[in-house]
Amino acid sequence: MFSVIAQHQLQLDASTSDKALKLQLSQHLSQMPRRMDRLALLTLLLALPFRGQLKPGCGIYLAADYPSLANMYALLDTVVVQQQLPKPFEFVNSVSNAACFYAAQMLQLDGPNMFIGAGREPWQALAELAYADLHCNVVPEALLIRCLQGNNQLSGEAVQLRAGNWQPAQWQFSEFATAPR
Amino acid sequence: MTPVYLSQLQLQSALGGTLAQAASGYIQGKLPTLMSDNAALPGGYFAVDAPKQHLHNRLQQLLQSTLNAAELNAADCLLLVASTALDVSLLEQRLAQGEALSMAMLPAFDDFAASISATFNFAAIRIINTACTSAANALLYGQRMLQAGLYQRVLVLAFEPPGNITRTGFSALELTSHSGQYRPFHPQRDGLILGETYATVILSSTADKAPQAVLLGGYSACDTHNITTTAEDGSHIAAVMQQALQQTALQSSDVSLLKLHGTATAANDSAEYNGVMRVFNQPLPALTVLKPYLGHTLGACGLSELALLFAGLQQGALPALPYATAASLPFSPAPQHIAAQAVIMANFFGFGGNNASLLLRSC
Repeated sequence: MFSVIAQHQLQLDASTSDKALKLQLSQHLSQMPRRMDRLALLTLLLALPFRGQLKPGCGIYLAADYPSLANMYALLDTVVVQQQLPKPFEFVNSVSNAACFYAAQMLQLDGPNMFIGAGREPWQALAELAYADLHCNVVPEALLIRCLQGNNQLSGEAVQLRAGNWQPAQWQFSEFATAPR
Repeated sequence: MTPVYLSQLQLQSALGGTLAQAASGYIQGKLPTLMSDNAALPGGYFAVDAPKQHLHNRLQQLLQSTLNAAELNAADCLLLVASTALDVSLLEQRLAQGEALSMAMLPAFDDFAASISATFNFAAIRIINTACTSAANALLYGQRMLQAGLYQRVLVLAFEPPGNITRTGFSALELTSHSGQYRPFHPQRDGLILGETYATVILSSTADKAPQAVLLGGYSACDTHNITTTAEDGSHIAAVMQQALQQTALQSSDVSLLKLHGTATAANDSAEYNGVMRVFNQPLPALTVLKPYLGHTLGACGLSELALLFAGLQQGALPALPYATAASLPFSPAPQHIAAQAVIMANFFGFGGNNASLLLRSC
């Protein structure tokens, strides 16, 4: 089914500010996209180690437990509570594949780009999408990213996969992390 | 790609509470009535022409009727949910009724899946959000997962309720029509009108229950040009259409009908015009747009528009575009008869650089 090429994990203090996340990213990027929300920042930090490592046409498959929480709160407060028009960038970012877009832009990839809403058990869902694309020769390889913001978390994992013969038994990240290279 | 069959298409839209009602109105060229239900919100939208229902009740009834019509158990199907807003409108209603906003109120994506799992034991539920290509991607990935042997059947549920965030968001971006006329590719087009919709379809590798269309394949990819607009020279749109043709081993000359995305926004229509001109030789295939009849149904448009199109094709000729002679692309000023089994290309584009192109045949 798969061959695991590389993996990356990130566990941050949930109280880390967006400004600190931007600062961390800016140390690696010559040009920072503007007006990214917290989900996009976390996604980019998870994708960062894969820059220059991915084949053209690689697919990006992102799962998150929530849209960007602060962004969604601000939208509801502005639109429903205050009955004002939202800030355009807050609305655009609320379309959760905005994080995928920024990841594709940073990684200079123009292949398939999928976002799924999944918190508790995302790995089978992500891996099935990637497997379908690998099986149908739509992509040469796949980058799977999982972001967590709920329950006072700010963490995630990422895995680079190609077609191969290995299959996880329980669809846990730990299996991808320890799979034979 | 191995073709898959689309059956049990269901649609609730501004043209009617059922697909048959909508198709009947569509082939007569009937346009929906603009709904302005809230003076505090800018513009109007095309509301579903059926009694109002609680969102979760409506979705449950739609899923059940689809499963019943297909004589399938939920356990035999993967459920792919395609929507940009999911049930955020329910949270908006609670806030409008006076509940205080708090972070704890914000719903996790798993909460929506749990609301479906409480009634149905689908083999798995996946929530896809790639903006306005969500349903198109659900169809594509449904096909690929069937081809990969991961599931036996796929049920796609695509919907967009008229939430305040969505309505004000597009207004803040100055993408909504002020004239109240939805006219893609018209020189005086002035933006989109949102549409409410709820749609389902069953995908299977076998033609087991009166299929209405065949999905041959397609391609979906990310244009990193800009988060809200694709490259205006049409280069990425053209590349996606070319890849879709390549995936299905077809040539542009094989396409008999092109269903354009046609949002009626200045940038999107211009980019799509350029993309079409890059891919197709003259004369162009027959052209059609569906958004004037449904509104822009956002993440659901990949299914709602195809449901209306294929039901319309089964009932007769596609309606003439009232402003065909003024449009920037050569639409037909007369009703169009499309041959059975004709190859149809359907374009869907969205925020986040998502561009998708599907190739289908009517049954």
